[in-house]
Amino acid sequence: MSNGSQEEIMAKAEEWLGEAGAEFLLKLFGIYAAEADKCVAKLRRSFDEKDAVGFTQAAHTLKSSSANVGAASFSTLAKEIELASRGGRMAELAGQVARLEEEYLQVKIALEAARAKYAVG
Amino acid sequence: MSVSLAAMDESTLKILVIDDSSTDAETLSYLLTKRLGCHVEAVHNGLDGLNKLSETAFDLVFLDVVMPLVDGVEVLKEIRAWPKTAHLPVVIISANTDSKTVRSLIQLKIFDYVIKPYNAEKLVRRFSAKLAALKSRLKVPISVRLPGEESARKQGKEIVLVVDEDANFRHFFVETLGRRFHVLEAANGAQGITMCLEHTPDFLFAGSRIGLFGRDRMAAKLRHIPGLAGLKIFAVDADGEDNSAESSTFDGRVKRVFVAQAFIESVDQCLGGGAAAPPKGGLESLYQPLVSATEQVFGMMMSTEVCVEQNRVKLDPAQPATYGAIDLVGYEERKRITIEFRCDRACVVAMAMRMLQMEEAEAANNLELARNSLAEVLNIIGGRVNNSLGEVGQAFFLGLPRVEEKTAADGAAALSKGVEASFSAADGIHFSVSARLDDLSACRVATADIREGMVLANAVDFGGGMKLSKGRRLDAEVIAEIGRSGVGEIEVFEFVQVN
Repeated sequence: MSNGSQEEIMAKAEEWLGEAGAEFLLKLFGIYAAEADKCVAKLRRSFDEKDAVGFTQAAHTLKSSSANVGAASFSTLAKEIELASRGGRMAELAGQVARLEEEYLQVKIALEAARAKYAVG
Repeated sequence: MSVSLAAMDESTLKILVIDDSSTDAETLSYLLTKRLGCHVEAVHNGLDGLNKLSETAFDLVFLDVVMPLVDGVEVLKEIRAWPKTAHLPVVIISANTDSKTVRSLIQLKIFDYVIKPYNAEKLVRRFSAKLAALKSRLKVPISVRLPGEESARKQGKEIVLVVDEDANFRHFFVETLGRRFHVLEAANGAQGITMCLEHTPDFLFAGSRIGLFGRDRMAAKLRHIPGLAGLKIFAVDADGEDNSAESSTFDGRVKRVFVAQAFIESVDQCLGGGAAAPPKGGLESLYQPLVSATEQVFGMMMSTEVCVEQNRVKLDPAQPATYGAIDLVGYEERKRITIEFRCDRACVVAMAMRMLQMEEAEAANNLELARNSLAEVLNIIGGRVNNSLGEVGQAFFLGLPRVEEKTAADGAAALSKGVEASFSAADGIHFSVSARLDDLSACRVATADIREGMVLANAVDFGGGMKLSKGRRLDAEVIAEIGRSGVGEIEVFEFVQVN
């Protein structure tokens, strides 16, 4: 993930901070982190088990929830995976899945940075 | 999860969010609560959503489509099948919805849609007016003169008060009779009396369950108020409903059914034909279904917000443009409604990029595919408008969609008088949709020229026990029978190929 994308997450964090305050921001980022952890694991598991339905659903959830925390490029990657999977090309997505997992590690770092910066108290 | 930062009172809209993404549900709940002043509860799967709806009365549901186990379409089918929630307004939360899903959702009637991922500011802007309108319909404030009432009287519209504790029934009443009457609402007998004093309605329809100040007492009280001598009061009861209403207190009874046409007929029977007939294919009555169907279908198909706008779409006469049309044929009415679509080529390319997930160059090189998508969309819109006509008892058949490219100069011939609306969306998408009403003419056709799908304009008696009724669509078997009968020609309606 580029620094630009990390900046996007920080920018979104500031947007939520201004809109709803630090408490809501931390809650939202916490909810997202827990949900995205599950979804990324589900995406990998569904891919390995060739479960196209679960795979598509996991990508779908990542696509929209990630946009809410500003992870725009991660959301776009999840969208590409979802569309390819809907088009019956799940088997060709090994590289994309690995890339998404790598990107997610960067998203988590950015989320943690935002949570540390705006931690209450 | 329950978020209720807004002070909860009777006028607060109660909203249920059903979304399997906790992040999305959290952000949406926050915006609805903090920015739009609603009381929100959220659940994360369809089954929990249905359970919640069975326990608690909500004014509105935001429903995600893609969910595991029970998806949004299945949830909406259940909502529509259950009398208590059959008319509950539902906002669809969707992303990249395919045409089959859009078709199902449109048939199941939706209030609006939200595209995921959503922009918070746009969502707040879009729903602030819509929720305010919904609130004014569902949460009737007492002692407030509703806007539009005086102008309604000036326009000759009669004022009707519906008193019922069931907000869904009141919503259904407004949806069904709101174009014909100026409809006011009250949730209980006490509110009903207050509103009668303030608004002097022409008719009052009261359900059997109206809570505070029961129906009989309310009616008896109203009968003794001198200024309300002209008020006609009708009881609204379900079939077999055990009610204690005294017949002398009421001017008639209306069947409490959630089927629009049956309800209209029951109301008409009570009013004894004194009120205006329901709209019969009038173009004005088509405007709202046309606009909401266009916004919803194009919006969900293109995953973007599509809004009606004031500026008319102008086409460059020198440039090729895309024209689409679909017919709704009413054999009984002898009318044909044509829904027309038009936009410039750049718009079709932009639409194709969104609907078919294509790059610009690919979309520009595959205009045929783009036109096919447009035809599909027109078909769904036509279906939705057709449903609206069906609800007021008008049987129309949906024709096959046609989409073609021609110059604006050629296309101008197709432009017609009727209701028209222009729309805009992201990426410079601007297009217009109109509807016109024509008489459906009939012509005589030699039996040798009869084709499948043609429809008889008059009943025909071929003798020997073979009779065909007016409106009969001809299939291969019937055509063979006509051929054997020796009849030279028959009268058919102007040929429109229908689905």
